[in-house]
Amino acid sequence: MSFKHEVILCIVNNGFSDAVMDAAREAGARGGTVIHARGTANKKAEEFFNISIQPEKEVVMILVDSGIRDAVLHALYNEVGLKDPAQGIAFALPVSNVVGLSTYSDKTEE
Amino acid sequence: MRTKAIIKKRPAAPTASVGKTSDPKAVQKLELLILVVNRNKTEFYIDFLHNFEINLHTIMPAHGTAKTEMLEYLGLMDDDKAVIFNIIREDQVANTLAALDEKFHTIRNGKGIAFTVPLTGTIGVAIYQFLSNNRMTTKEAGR
Repeated sequence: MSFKHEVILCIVNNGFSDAVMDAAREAGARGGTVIHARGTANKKAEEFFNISIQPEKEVVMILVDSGIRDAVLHALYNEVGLKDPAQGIAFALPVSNVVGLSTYSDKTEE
Repeated sequence: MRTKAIIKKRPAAPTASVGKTSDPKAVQKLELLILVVNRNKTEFYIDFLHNFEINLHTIMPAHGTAKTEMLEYLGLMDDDKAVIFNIIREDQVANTLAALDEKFHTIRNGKGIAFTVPLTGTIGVAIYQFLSNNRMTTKEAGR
């Protein structure tokens, strides 16, 4: 089953959602939605991988065409990845049906 | 000596029917319906989704990322959004999305976006029946 659209979820530290959208727009994304969240992690895993999880998070949800998924993910990895203070983790999910995308993209392009 | 193999047709093994079927007791696939709308329209869309046998909604306050400097100066930016996660039966997806699309175009300030992500699993019979709004099997189980 092939999916025409995918939704990219990028979890970043609080205050980095603008950086996420800047990187995603460079790769061809149009707009996104930011959800405030709180992160938790396994303390031992944090020590082992030398990663600290800041509790205050933002989840940026970006709906993209499947064709630019990899470009957007690469941009996020390079610009707001774990080496950046944003400490972003991004992944994509297949989307089987979409409505309202044209009005959504119209608004974001205004 | 050559023998002819006789292959008997085996009776069909009973299998759980999954997917599109008219049997109300059959197992139906579920999808996650994600709806992004203006925050002041949250209650309207929640009530609207009840018409499509959706029982579970999770609402998250959010905001849009589209920013136009001029609109911000004029105070016209309304970027307060709500993201609503809903679990929906697969056979209801097409109807629901078509109805939502119509509302996006006709309701003032009601523009939004909706999409579905297929679920690969869930656990618990009661939870599944609740999520799929399968009242038929719930009644039988209670007998």
